[in-house]
Amino acid sequence: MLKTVAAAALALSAILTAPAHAAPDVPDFVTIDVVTVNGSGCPAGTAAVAAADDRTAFTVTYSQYLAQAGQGSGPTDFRKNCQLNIKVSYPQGFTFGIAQADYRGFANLQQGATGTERGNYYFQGMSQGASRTHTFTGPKSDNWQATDRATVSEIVYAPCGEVRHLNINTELRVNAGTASKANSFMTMDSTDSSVSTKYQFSWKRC
Amino acid sequence: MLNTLAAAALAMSTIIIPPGGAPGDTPPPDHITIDVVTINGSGCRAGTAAVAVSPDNKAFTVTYSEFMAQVGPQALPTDFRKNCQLNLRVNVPSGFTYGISSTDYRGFAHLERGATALEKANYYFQGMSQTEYKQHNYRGPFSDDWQATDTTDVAAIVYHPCGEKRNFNINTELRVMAGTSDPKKVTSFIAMDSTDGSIETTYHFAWKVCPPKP
Repeated sequence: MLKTVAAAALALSAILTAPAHAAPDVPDFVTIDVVTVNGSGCPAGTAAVAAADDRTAFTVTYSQYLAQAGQGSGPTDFRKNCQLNIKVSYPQGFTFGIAQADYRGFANLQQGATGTERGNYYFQGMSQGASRTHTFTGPKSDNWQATDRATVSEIVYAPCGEVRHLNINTELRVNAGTASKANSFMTMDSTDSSVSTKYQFSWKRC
Repeated sequence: MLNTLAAAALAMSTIIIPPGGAPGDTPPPDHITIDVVTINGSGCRAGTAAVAVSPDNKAFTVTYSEFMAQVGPQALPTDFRKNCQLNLRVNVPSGFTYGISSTDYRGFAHLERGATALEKANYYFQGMSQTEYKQHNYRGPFSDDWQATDTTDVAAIVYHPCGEKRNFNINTELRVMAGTSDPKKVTSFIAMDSTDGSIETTYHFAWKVCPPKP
């Protein structure tokens, strides 16, 4: 749930609580730009960013974002992370919330092993964050997909009148569990995020 | 089938379906073009993929130097699955929407008796959770070139949401399963040499008119 951040942001910015359908006066251009991509799962040169032409969506792909445990793995390999720093530009007088991020990858988990994808969301300069976790249980050897979607009432609001970059720190963890002899691993192939005034973003007047 | 994506896109974008419902009846006023924006994945790390785009930007070829999945005595436990994701920008004449139609995959596989391999492609638009896939399976003993083509008929085509610009993603993957073969003794592998994508307004693409903006 993203309620923690929502509550914090609401308190800070005294946003007028508008009905969920009060979005007709949505401004035209909300844009998102990936500023940095870095982490143990995405060292320099291993991540590629593809932005949509209108800068309302992006795809990040990874070449070595893989966490593993058990046979053949190092003791620190069970947890990898990749953090995206995103500049969100929006017209004056409006604030915003992120509504959707899609994570896709592959997991090979032995019976007894588990894999976790976690997204930590926070704004620069705000201690409060929100996180969502998706857990996968072995036996599994297939693609996985996870979506973090915030409904209008629990959306993350940026403080009005301030410019803060949004951080999305994703991580993969693999726990060998009772399958410590065999290898279990989990990869992330891509992260997609988008903002849309139509169906993936909600707006409230400052 | 890409019906799910098509339905989702239709729901989001309120595309007007022309009477008669025969997509492709209305040709675009100008040609459409595609650009490969990024290529990345465990099977195509930076510097290992090359892109060749046709002069009219209607077709492209990606070639790989190390897109290979394997099992065997010299393989790591994580080597049995490799992926490569293409991010494509499709430039569409204003007022029209589009669907992707045809992609060819070519490579080589050496599979011991009892081993199996697959080539799988996941298709999705940025910002849309819906993912569609097509999969092709191979069974050992096999030691030869392979080729797979993903096509969609007109009724099952993916429509780009009107009024938004979203890149199209094709995430291809290769997997090898040792099966009843002994990976401690024998190696099985599958490699992808090339991916070809193309769009043709005549038969590779279907068109529908977007509603005018209020």
